[in-house]
Amino acid sequence: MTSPLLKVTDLRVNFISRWPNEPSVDVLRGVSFELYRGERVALVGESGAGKSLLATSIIQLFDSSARISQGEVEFEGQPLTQLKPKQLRQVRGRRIGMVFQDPMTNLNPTLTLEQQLLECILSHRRISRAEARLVALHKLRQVHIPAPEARLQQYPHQLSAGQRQRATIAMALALEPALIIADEPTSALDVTMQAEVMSLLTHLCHSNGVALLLITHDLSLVAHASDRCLIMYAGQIVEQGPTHSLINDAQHPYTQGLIKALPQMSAPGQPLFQIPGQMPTVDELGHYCAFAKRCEFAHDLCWKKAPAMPLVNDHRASCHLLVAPKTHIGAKL
Amino acid sequence: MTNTPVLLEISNLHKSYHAPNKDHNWLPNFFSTSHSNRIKAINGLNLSIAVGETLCVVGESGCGKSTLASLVMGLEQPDQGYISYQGNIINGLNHTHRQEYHKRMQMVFQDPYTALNPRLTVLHVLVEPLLYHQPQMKRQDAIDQAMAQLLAVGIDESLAQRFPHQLSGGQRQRINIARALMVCPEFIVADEPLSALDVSIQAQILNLLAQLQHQQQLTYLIFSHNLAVVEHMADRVAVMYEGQICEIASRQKIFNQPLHPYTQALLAASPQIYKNPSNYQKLVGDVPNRIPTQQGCSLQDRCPKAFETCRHQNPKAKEIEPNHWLACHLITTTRMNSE
Repeated sequence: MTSPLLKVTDLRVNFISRWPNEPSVDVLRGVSFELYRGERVALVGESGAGKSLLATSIIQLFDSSARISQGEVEFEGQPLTQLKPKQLRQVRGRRIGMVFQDPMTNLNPTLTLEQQLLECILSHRRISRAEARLVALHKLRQVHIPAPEARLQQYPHQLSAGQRQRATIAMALALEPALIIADEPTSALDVTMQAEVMSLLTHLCHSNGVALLLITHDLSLVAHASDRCLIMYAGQIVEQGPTHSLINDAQHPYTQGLIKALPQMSAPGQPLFQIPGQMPTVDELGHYCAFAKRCEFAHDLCWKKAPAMPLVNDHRASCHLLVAPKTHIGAKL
Repeated sequence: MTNTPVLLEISNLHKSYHAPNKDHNWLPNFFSTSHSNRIKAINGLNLSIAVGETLCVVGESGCGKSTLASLVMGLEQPDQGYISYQGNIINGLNHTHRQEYHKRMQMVFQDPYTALNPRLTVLHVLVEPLLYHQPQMKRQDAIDQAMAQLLAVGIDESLAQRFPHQLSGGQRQRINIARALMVCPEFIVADEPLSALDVSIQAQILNLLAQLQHQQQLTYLIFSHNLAVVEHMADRVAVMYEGQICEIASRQKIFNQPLHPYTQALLAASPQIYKNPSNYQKLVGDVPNRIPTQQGCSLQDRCPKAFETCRHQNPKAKEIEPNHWLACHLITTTRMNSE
């Protein structure tokens, strides 16, 4: 197999407390995954699971109080964690493009699209303004923005939400990155716009070999828009594998719960399955399974040590039940 | 559905807003008299809700869902048309006469993070509407009722003295629902009650809404763009586009045999976890600029099946089957020809 495009090994990120006596807290607690060229990987989890922090940690675009305490991020064979800020800027935007969540706020309202796109292109490439403008036009056409010449002169508020999100994608694409990190790219959009943006991203992955890391909390979207899926819970990846097998044969009780809680999983009018309680806060976590408190199958071992991540069928899940006697898994999907 | 009494009836409702004047930005709005400068948010809408049912209104953002919610609640006044509640027209009432209806219909807002006053404790938030509507009530009685309501929505009594920022999103949305229920309303209007919540919390709130409806015989009018949620909880579904209802039918009809091209496109766009999305044709293009300059069906530029009649005439809603209303030239003309 070819070497991965992005390889994250045992990544731990903590936030340093402002008070000298308080310990710093680990928010990402040992995340490892790989991403190959042209692959679409979805990162799924509830809010507060650390999805966005993982995305920003890859390109170290996080808050100044956050710190990578351990682990390695390797991108195109380059260890990103050891790069100097100047070298890192060569990677951000140029090799790794980022699409942020809210199309209303991620474009600068005081600049026209042309100014923003050209700024992005010219800060990385030594070409003339006229050439850069051609690149910008080409990218806008690529994301199906009608009449791109006219659009370049417009301000973000003159575009619809869907067009704005497509303009953001065009900006992320402008320097032909090898990886696009999309942080909830469609959660502010309608279903019709969502379908359009997702088919655009999928098309780009297939035709240009761009890899996509899609951060979302919508499992039904993941089912169609990703090849592989990582389920994240309380700063750790609890299950990962090919999307198809993960959704049809979920092993971790949390993944099973997420799927069962979808409204379409119960007959209309019937009560929905709900995962009791809520995600633990960082100071509640210990050296045991983070999901034990909410898990209906939890037993003694779950409270004693953190589970390993065994390979089950063709995907991995970190749950004691998969190693220990299988009899505990009573009700499966 | 036909023999249950009608709770709320909306007839030929119109509401428009001034559009910013593109050419003369410095002119105040009252100078612009021409109608072309008005955005028609609600454009001749008819709807009726029976007692005890859950009617879900779906549509893209900008189709007028939130405007309709504010019109129903009396937060805005319509330009034309009427809204009647149990046979009495309630739009245009003065504050004193409207008061009675405020008690009977309550609203749950979209964003649980901004709908609660950050300076009031949970208990204060719940007691306030009660004391407003019943000023002679003893404070202790109001507090007792608020505590009982907290239990009913599944919030622990120990959280009563907390402020909104000390609660999670799911808890806040429960408080929102509890506040709406404090004055024992019959009718709840909920504008996107779940869109700000995670899947697992969404399930909790959906169950809570269903349970409360069962216990207190509530009628729901729910606005949403999440079709999975709508399919789970609706009795009837109304599909809204450009300030009009384009299709309204029972849940089974809408999800199994949608007839309007717009309904079909919405279904085609919404992802399903185990099934492929429906194979209906998708829409083309964006939501149009909403200052009406053209005649005909408002969907004509995006509709894959638009034909000549759509360009001239705005389709009228017709009842093509019992309780299945549709506003589309394509279906109504082909049906009439075949008959």
